Amino acid sequence: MTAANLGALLSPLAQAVTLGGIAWTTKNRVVREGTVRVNTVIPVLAPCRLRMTVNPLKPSEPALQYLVGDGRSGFSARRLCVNTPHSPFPGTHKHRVEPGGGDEGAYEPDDIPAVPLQPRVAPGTYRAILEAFAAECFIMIGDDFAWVEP
Amino acid sequence: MDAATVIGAVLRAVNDHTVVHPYGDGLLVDLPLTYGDGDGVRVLVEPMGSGYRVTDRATAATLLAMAGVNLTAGRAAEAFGEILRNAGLNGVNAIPGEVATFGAPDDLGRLILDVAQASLRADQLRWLAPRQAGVRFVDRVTDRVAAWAGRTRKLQRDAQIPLQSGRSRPVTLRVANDGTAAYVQAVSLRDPDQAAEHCYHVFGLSTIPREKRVAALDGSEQKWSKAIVAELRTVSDVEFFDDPLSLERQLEKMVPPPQTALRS
Repeated sequence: MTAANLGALLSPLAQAVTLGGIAWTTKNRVVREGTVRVNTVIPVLAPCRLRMTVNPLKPSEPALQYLVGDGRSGFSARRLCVNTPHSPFPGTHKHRVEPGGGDEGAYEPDDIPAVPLQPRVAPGTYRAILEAFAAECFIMIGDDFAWVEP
Repeated sequence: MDAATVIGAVLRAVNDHTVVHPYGDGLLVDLPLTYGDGDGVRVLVEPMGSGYRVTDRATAATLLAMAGVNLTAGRAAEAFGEILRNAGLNGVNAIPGEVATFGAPDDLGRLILDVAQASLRADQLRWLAPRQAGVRFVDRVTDRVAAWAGRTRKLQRDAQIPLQSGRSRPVTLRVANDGTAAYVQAVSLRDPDQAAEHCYHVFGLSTIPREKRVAALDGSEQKWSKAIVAELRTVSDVEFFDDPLSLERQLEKMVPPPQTALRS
């Protein structure tokens, strides 16, 4: 993984586009995990996917990741935590991985729809978050994309 | 410096960095503590009867799921249970993965710290995340077929397929419904020749009709030798995993949805 690879991945150069719809599974008996495959023109970074994590006990605090690669070489290029504190940010923030280091820096995005911190979310919220996150990662939503609620 | 100064400093730090948000019937408490990824520790306090219930709302279990730690079985599951037992939490109304306890109003501060501490300890199980060589192709095929099947079809992993000789051999999946069944064999690119030969052997000798057999090949058609694909097509249908919908479409034809689902 190089800075050039990561820079290309998170730019229009990657020509990233989703493949198929979102598929949900349950992890650790409580967490709903949805994944969408992502195709890019950078084969060395394949496979790529978007992963959305929704805990029904904290529905207004979902997380999204742009996962790149698999196994030992896999990493999370970007991770969005909605309504979750991460000092110095009181709520929604993003983790960014830097090539050559394991640390993830955090920053506050300004392009994610605001979600009220409450025990329920309005219909359509998760899809709107996923699409906003994909847009910031320069991932196009494919024509065959199908959304299913978690 | 004396004890009062130090205690005062600790209390001031806690006071200055604890934030509370209204949340339903209760309050979310953001503590000046962080999980392994730097995210803050947050617990929910809800009134319950004569006291309060405090929960991490399965936050540690969520972080562990994202880190790839399985809490349904194995060492991590045992360690998670041990952490909860040792923390002295009574787990009132807790669902699997939730760190929770209940107690009297006078003990609220202690309850919050106990839940936070147990949740932080559980989060450290992230170091048990397997550093494996990726998700196996058979598991990717299984996950994808399971997502398609939902509750309308029955899946059996490592299903036995009957052979003409009278014995049987395992294939990746059996997908069944209303007495109709199809068999799926995942064919990995890790050792394509061997994987294809195994698939050809098992499907070629089976008593199951060809139109009920699917070879799910890893990657795209370009990654496979035309000869291997042609050989496999003599014994089964062939679908490529990189095609986003073909496997699902083929299974939809082979194992139609149940009649009850069609009527509803």
